[in-house]
Amino acid sequence: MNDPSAAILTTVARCRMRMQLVAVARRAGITIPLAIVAVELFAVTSAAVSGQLVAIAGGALALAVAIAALPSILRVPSIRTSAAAIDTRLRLQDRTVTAVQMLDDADPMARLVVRDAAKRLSSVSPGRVFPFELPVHFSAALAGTLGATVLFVVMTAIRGQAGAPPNGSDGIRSAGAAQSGRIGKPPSNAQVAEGAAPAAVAAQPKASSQTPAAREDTPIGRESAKNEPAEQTPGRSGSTPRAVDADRSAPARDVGAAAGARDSGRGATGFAERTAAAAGGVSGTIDPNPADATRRAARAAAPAGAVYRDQYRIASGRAQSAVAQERLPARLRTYVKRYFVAIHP
Amino acid sequence: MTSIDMVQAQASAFRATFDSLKAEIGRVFVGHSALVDHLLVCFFCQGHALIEGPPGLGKTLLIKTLSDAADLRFARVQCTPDLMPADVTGTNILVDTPGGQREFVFQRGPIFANIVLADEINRATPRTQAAFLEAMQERRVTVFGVTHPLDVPFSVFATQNPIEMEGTYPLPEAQLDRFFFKLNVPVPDLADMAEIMARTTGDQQTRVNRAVDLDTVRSMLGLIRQVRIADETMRLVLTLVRATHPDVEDALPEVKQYVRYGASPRAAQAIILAAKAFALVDGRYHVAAEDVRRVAVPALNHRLILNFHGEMERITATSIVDRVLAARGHA
Repeated sequence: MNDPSAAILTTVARCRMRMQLVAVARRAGITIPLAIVAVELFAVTSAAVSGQLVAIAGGALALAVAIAALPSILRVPSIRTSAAAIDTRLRLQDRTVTAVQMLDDADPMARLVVRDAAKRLSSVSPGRVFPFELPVHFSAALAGTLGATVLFVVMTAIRGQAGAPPNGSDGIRSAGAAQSGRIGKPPSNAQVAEGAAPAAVAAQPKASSQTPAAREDTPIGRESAKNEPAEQTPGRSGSTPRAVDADRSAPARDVGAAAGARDSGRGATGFAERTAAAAGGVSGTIDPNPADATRRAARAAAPAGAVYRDQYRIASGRAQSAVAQERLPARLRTYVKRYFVAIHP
Repeated sequence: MTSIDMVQAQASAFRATFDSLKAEIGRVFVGHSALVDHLLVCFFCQGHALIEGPPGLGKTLLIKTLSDAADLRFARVQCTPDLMPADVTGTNILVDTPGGQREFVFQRGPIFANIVLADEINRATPRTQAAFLEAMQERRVTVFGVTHPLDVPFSVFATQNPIEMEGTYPLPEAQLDRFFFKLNVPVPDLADMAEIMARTTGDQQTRVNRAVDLDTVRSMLGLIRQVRIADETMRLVLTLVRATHPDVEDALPEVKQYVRYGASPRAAQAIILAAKAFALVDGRYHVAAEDVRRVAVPALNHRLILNFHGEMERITATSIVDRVLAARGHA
């Protein structure tokens, strides 16, 4: 460029823009990981579905970039400041900052200063002068984000294994409740799904004499009433576990409790209750049309995500194999079936 | 040739002259390259230097070699307690005129030289030391009401011995401030010492050649002041000088603890002028922060007056200046 003053101004302006870009990138190196962690926390603690989470994540990232860019937009460095930064980076011994001050000076020495600076800046590339750099605390931010992401993935996996709906803490609590189920009580819905039912059912005094087909087709209420005399004898002998007594006294209520009442007591919310209602109802009343109730519950509660479907398939497979291998009372067998119908995706 | 080309040529000539003078001095005075640089810069800035060092390190030789290489009139004043001001400045003497009459004629003293070496200046009485004041500051001498201007260039290089303090009259702060630089002559290292022995104990005497004539020197004196300095660099100099004052709010703890008086604005003038000269020597037309750092210590170390506590702690002004520079990222 013929005019050294214009050449200097152009180079400094380009470097200033590059400085701002680098500053934005450096700040984004901190704000974006923070946004990722925030989204993960939100996903863990809230009941948002995947579609909502994608939107929230996009918004959070956009906000992070905006926050990173805001200081550069509000505080644009002056030409002198930019020139000083160029001098520092290129070790130009204050050539640029002095030349910028004397751009309009007609003094011969000032013209020499400008000419000398223009010569030095002629081959300067802003990208080389101000390369992208990691922020000071980037490694800490990255480590924190990775840790949070790993935690998030692990928690999601635990939740998925529990077969609970992906609405956060409820599912996790249900899984915990299932694993801490006491022997002798009817297995909860989670226990059945995890294949823990055999352990609990082992305490049952004896198997029903009904055929498998009859057992599976018999509604809960009638089945319980029909089985009652047969099952009363061991219970009266005084050696029957407590669960059997409970089953005898209020079968429908216990089924409902097994499905959701215990979960409800531990903080479970709508899903477990709706499932319990489909299986017999927490109130102990027998649904006149259990198939309708099951469909209603499925429509109301069962999620339809791909992950959920996979989890459902695994859990239902385990339950079926468990039911096929173990000798279960027909009532419980039906209960397992209805449970899986209720939570069908 | 345009004015820009002329200035460029002058700057190149300055650089060449500086280098040739330094090379000529180096033929006689061994080592201490930084000291020679500072002395030459002080001379080209038309400043005066106080050179301090133990006896026998070549202080007088250095000054004499400079005057020989630059073809300057040299005068040496050996300061003693009985040295009178008139012995320095000159005086009116009664002379017989050709017409048979008598009249007073001003007899110039040694101060009317281009380079004056005031050897062991702290042995002269304060009255004689004060005789140097007007000459150093005003570049003129007033005798019997008549003012006599001094030659250009004019520099006083005073030496003092830091060891022998008995029978000396330490220079007052006002006079110290008039020295552009205070340069310390350290003991030469082993290699330099061997070279000195080889040069001074052999049968061959090294002669100094004239590297530059007086007119060339005079033409270069104004060039230094044309060198430009950016506001940022100027601000650096001013904050540096202000930071040596203990009563300034942002003064360093060391300054508040050990310094009684800080540097005067004359120190800032010295720093800027010397930095401009170094910029030219480095082939630049503007002052950089590096130039300021290069001249800060010799320009400031004799202008800081330490308090009693600082003297008892054996704190040196140089160490204070170094800390001030380090605090501003220019260590």
